[in-house]
Amino acid sequence: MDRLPPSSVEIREVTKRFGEVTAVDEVSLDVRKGELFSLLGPSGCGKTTLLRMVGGLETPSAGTIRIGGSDVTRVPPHRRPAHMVFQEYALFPHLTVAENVAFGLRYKTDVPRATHGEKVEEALALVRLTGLEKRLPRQLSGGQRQRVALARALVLEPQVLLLDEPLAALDPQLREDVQVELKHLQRTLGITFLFVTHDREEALGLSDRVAVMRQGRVEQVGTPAEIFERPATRFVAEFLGAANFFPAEAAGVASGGSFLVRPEKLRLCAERSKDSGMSAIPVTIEERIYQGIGTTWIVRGGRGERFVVWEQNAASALDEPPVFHPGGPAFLCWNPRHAVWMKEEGA
Amino acid sequence: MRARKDRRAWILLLPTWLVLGAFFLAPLVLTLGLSFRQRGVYGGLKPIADLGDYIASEAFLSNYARSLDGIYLGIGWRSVWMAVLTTVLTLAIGYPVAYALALHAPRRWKDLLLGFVVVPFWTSFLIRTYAWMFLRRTEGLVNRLLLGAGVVDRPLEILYTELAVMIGLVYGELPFMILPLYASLEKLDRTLLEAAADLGAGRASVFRRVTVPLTAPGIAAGIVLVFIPSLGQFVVSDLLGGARSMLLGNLIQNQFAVARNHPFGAALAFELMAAVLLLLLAYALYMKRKGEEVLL
Repeated sequence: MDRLPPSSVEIREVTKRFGEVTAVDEVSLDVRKGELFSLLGPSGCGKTTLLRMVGGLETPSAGTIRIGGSDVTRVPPHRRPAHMVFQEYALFPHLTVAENVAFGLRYKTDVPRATHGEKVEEALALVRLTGLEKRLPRQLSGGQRQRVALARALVLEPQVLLLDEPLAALDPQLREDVQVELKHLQRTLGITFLFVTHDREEALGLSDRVAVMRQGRVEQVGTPAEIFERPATRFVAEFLGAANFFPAEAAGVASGGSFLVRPEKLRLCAERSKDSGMSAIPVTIEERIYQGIGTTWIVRGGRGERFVVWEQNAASALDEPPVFHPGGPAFLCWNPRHAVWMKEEGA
Repeated sequence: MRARKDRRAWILLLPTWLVLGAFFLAPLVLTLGLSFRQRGVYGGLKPIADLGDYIASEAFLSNYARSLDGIYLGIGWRSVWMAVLTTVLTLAIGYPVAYALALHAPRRWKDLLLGFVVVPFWTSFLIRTYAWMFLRRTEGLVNRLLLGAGVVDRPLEILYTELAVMIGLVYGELPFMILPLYASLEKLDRTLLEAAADLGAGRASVFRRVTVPLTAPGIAAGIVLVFIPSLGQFVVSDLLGGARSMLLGNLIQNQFAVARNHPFGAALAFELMAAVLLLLLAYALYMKRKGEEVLL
């Protein structure tokens, strides 16, 4: 453990109640220094509330939050070394780009006023907005506004940058570019990023580690590969992608749970594999969905269970017509190494 | 096609023009004409013997010349001063009220609280001003309470003073300040306040650098809505100020109702209106520059 970088944000048994509703329920998390950490979950899971508590915009009902080792649980937002990029960016509409970026500088007593102009320039260069200093927010595109919001927070050199669904308001095409840019920025600056998203691909693609949240609680914390390949709960498994569950009884192993195998790890075979190491069950093909880069097969097991198989179209579908046809028989094969045992929830 | 459409628009606008013409433009022109005449011996108008002579002798400007006398300038100055003070006080009282209403009042209480701001409009302003008189007379409710509680040993002079006029004006104009302020504060995006706090601004700083600039259009509208009626006010100063505090409004009213010098009254009224128009023009230009809708 002592090899790990020190904690940047420590969240200890934090609870937030709004009246009767518990938005965040005894959550404990450690975000390491220089890490890009995502809070992933469906809307209403408490991820934004948790982020706002780290930023000081909400006060926890119970628990403590430490940033860089010091307790900030009751510290107002303007005295915290954490700055936020808001979902809709919250740029000041009456101020120019340069004035927006300079907004927080005057409160930093350690930054002499004479250097403010220079700092603003640097920050704008960092997000590639040089030359737009005099524009008003309403004269910018969505992507540019987002970069202003980033520059406005980064110019203050926060220990932690909080990002509340920063990509949600962008066009899908732009989103990918900004993801790459964010990751690059985070790596160059070495600042801890705490990132809130409901988009699993965003979380998987950007993060060093992810906390999957559900109903105010953390279901699992891990690297993107860990949460995808070894989900701790059925919820995590399903939230991160399509999932097939094979009841344990069907596999004849045990009971009280099921095996998870993701669609891309399943294969359709014409006959039961001779390799005894592979698992296989007979199925009937129900549907074939051609998607260009891949093909999705919907198949039914002996008791009518529905499974999804995803196959990459490594060869052109024109050269190799499909071997299987709807209504026909096949075997569903997989390597048992890719099956994840999931205990029945509540059992 | 185009021409016909234009003509149709004109026909549709005709009622508007008729109403405006009959009840606004025509009286205005009559008043302007009146302001160039002179008072007859028994009130009424002095007949003009020779129009050429009348204009050449500059007699038609005599009313305007008279309005520049020290005594009238004094009244004008005091009126402006009272209007400025009223505006400043209503702003100082109205802003916190509108702020609390728009940003802090619980949702289900909001409409009711806003209703309380509007409720006074259900009663005639004249009646409400009389009510103030009854409250503040020497043997009025306020003095009786104060005497009864032993706070004072003789009745306070809170009627027929400048202070009484001031209180009456502020009371009467307050809703006109609160409502536009509330409208612009309600529109204010709260995440901007959070963003400012997150960037290091304390409460006072957030207010000064974000809240005030973003509600400036509401402030401007409130100032215009309060300042203009206060400038021409005569009911409040008449009832609560007695004979001692004459304002521009009283002066004009006096010329028509008491002194029976209609031409002089018309000239004063025109001067007041010119001042108000200039102010409105400045306001419209300001709003246009801000890219905001002109609310009046």
